Amino acid sequence: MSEIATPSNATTDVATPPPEVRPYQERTTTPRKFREPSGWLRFISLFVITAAIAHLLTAFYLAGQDQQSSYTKLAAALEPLTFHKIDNTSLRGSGHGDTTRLPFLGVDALNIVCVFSSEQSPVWVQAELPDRAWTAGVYRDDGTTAYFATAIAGRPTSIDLKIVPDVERFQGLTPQARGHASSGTPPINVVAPKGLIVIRAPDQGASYRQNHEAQLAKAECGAQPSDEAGDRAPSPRDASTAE
Amino acid sequence: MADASFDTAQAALTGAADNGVIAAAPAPARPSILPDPVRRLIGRIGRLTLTAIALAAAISLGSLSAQRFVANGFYLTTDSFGPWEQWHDEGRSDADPYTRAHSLGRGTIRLSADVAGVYEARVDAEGARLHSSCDYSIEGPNVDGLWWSLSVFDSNGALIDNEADRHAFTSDTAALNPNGSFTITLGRDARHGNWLPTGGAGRIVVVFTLLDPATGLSPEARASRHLYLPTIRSEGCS
Repeated sequence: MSEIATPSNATTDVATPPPEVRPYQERTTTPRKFREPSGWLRFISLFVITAAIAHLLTAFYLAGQDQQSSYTKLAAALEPLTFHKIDNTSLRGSGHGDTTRLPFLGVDALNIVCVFSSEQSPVWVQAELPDRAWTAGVYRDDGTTAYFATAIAGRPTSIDLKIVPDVERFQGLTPQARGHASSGTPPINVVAPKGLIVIRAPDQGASYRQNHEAQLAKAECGAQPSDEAGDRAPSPRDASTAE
Repeated sequence: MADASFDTAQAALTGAADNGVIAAAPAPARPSILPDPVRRLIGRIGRLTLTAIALAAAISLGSLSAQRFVANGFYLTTDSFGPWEQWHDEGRSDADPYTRAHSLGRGTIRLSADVAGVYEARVDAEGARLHSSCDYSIEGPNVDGLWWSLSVFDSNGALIDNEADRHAFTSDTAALNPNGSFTITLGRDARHGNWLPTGGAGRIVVVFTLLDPATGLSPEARASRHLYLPTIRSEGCS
């Protein structure tokens, strides 16, 4: 067994160089276990990060899945650009079965729906909300609301909308630009490439139902001809008003 | 004790003293019947297997938690007021991905949270699951002239078939108390007053909708819609 080299030995034995003992330097550096994460720490970090990425990817994936959306169901079942009365009972009775049933659609209101796509041409909507709790809404295909109006009690509210796919697209000349006089208040522009127009009449009992259905039947939606992009297409209501 | 430490230090330094560098003493080798390359291969396969299992578990955990958050909500997407739950950004253009996925996956037409409060209850005030074998009394306050509705569905969101063809009451169709409050009863057997039949439905869901006035509500008033929520009290089960 050789002797331990010490500084005192080094001074006495000139031929043997002193060993490089650096206890002071070892203590001042960062301990190894903090400098390099242990296997478990790396493992747990990898697990958490992977789970978080999977979580976010799944959430965003589900947010883009519209196979079960109300728009997808109704667009497959209903003729576009026409208002249809819908409720769970009528959809079941129409032969569409459960594929078009809209869950949690109650009978607390009579609903009429118009399926639209404004990508080819703008869509116009006209309706009148006669009393409190009557509502009109434009829902995009992703379920978000593009427009909503609620009637004021005792004061009929006219709805006149022009639905366009985006605000940047040229929609044609306005009537004024083509030399025609303005026919009144211009319609409100609503941005929605595809979606549903829903008008709700509150349930006020059986005695009101016929009246409400008659009022709902007056609501109209339709495509605007491309050569009259600045105007809305003439509707039967316009014709009757002109007469 | 001091001698033992000295011996250890001496042993550690012995091998390095000749080179002038201190080195740690080599660990004693364990006897093994497998050659080193095989042992290394087995160790590598084991680590890879464990890593693959851990990754699969992490992906499953992340995916399932996202699906659960989308289906049931969590504190960032839903508000709970006793038995009532509300997706507070439903129908809004700036809704988070969980709320959007929830709306799309459910596939129904709901009033936006900007214009109405839509609340769902699947449990009663005691936290017990709402079930058609029980009778319930739902009592709500005067809602100051706002339009409201209360509808009952089965757990899949379908209307509960019944001979009376009753599925909902609104502020226009319910018989109100003299002070404007209301009481609606749920149960299998017919009762006087505002009775909604639930017989044979199994688990049931109650939806309360409170429509804002045409002039809209301030964010503060919107946040206090829940003050109008009714209470759901069980009156016994059969």
